[in-house]
Amino acid sequence: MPIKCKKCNSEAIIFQKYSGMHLCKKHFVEDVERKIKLTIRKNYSIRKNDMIAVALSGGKDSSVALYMMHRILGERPDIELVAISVDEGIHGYRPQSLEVAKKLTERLGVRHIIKSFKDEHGTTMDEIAAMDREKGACSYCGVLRKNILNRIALDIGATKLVTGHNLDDEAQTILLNHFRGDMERMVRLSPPAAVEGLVLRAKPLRNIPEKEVALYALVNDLPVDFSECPYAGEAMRGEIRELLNAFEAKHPGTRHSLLRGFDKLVGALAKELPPAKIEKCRICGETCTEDLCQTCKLLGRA
Amino acid sequence: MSKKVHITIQAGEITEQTVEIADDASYENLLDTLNINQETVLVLNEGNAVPLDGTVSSDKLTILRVVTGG
Repeated sequence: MPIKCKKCNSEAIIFQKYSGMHLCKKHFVEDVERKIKLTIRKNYSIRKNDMIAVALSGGKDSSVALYMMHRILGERPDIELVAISVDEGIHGYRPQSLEVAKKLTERLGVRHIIKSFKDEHGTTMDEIAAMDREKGACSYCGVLRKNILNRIALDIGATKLVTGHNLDDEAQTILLNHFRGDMERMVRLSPPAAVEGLVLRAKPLRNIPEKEVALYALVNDLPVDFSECPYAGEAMRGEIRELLNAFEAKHPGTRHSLLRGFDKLVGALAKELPPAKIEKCRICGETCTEDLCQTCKLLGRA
Repeated sequence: MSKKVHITIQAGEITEQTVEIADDASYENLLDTLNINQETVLVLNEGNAVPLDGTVSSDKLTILRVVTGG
């Protein structure tokens, strides 16, 4: 016998262990959309004449983030949505997902800007990965990508930068910061305050489990690339993901609790640890907290 | 009593295998048998997602790995 939806008589497509609910396609979609709208309303107030940039890789998370922002704001004549994709130069991986990203922006009729590491930084992830280097590939990729996203968002006059971080990502990062004792980084994870030179980040999917983001993409028939980056594997995050997933399976709701606890704690934490002084990088002029930004440091521009 | 289920696992590349599970096994039990964490996959029966606490009723399923590194 198929299991019925808790809210109607249709066949369920998911069991949310953490809520105890079985949901059919219609009510699952409603549930996800309601939570995303609530997250936006609570944390990232949308203002008249906002220009919202969405970081789009073509993977499930960023595709769902763009699709949802378009669903919520697509009809607003005063608000413009712009997708920004970054081509890190990863052979056999990024070209395919960029094609998928293009399909989505074409379908939605959203302006799409694509920038590459090669053009913006003069190097590619394939070159960096092959280098003799101190840090993991993901450290370089993250810093260099965020640099481009922020700069392009500023250039086009965006007032917000949306990323596809989901509940799993956030819970992992919170735990990772605890394990490393890095409370300064913890503070930076909270819904941000306005800083000149940095576009406000927004994470509308931060309350949606990764698996549900994937299911949402699937039932809405979104073009999505499910492949994995060949350089994936920031070692410690991988371990934390396994640990958290094992815990979540045994103790449903763990990820939600981590995020809820963090949201309560972070205000007090921010008072104890005021944000670092904001400076401009002496090489490239980017907004950062030291005289040399992470991008210039990693690229050896000192 | 037990039954055989043909599984296609999609995780970038595609692998196939057949597993033997108890007649009344749930999808969760099936994933445990395969040593796959239930938070990392969707189970599809004829292309449609199924709630994992349901009993396996088909002899052909697809497991879509949706949580990957990076």
